[in-house]
Amino acid sequence: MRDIVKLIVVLTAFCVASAFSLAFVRQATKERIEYQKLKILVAPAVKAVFPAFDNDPILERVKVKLSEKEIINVFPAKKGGSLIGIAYEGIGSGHGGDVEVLVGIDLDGKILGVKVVKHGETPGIGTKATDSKEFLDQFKGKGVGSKLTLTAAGGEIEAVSGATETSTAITEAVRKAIEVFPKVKEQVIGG
Amino acid sequence: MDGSRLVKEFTKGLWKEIPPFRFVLGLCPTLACTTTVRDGFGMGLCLTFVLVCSNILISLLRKVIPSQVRIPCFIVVVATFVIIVELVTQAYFYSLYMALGIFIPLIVVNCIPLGRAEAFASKNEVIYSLADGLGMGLGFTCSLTALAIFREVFGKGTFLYHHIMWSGFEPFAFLQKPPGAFVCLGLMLGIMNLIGSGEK
Repeated sequence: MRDIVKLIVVLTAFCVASAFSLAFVRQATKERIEYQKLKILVAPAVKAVFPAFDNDPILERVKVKLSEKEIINVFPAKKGGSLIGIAYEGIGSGHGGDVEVLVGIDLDGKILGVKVVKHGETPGIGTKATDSKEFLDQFKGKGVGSKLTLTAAGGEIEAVSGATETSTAITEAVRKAIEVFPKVKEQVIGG
Repeated sequence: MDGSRLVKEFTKGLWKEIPPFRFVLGLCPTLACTTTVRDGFGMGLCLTFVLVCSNILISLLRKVIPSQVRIPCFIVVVATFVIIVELVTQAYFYSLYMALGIFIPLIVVNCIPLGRAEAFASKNEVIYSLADGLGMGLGFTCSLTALAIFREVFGKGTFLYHHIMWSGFEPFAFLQKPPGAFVCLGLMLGIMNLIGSGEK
């Protein structure tokens, strides 16, 4: 009986020590790992949605709280030290799940560029819209106050024919991003 | 502390008991992570770190660990260090982490750390266990790097991603594929045995 107690105590002590040290290392590397992941996933898109910037928007990312549960990463682009725009993701629901779109917006709420970051659309069909520079460039210059829906729904965006569902999803994602712009801007640059 | 024994424990891992070739242990990363020199060397260093740390800790605690539960204790120790390696490579060497992928967590089930814990660290003093772990780890690293140099130079025509072969060189793409890894490993084992047979 004494033996069993000893075995339990030793093994438990090992596991507890292990758990504490791992929690410590995880806490210490968490920030860096998030940075590395974003760098691979989002950095190319950030480059695509801003015309020119000279800082590292990934490193200088700001967490913005949209609501109790929703916290998003906002990437500020700066040139010569002054803020020229912010980029963050909007999400629309497409044919194969969520379509995540990074939207670069200048300080007046005008869209600088749009890039699809992640999607599960059908290759060859939905990707006609996600990869179409022509389609995505339509958003440039529009922004707060624009009717960001497809022309078929009375808006200003021409859908890619044969990829209407994906076009709708991308437009929805951009619209949602623009809708929260005042709130994001307020938190990033303080009003 | 006995200096000559220390040297002996360290050097045995480098040649006489070099893990992948003499014991044919740890073959999974040896075959899978040697397509490029960077991957082979990185994998070797990850394992060396785990091996040294787990050997030291297990040797320190060898009197505390009851023999009935020693294997679970060793596994917990090894797994802890492996996850530390995984998190650190993810944070600081992300492209290496992406290349090695699942093979970093798989160090847990690699026979070498557990084997050294059971066969050596649980029976010997800390300083010798450190020498043993370091020697075995470096031996493993050298083996992987040697294999990787061969596979990268002839299979891709590059060394650390720099082109080093002449311009008309046609790489043997076969060496980059899994069967190529087996063939290279077989050849190296053969050469090692050929050299080793004269030693007896």
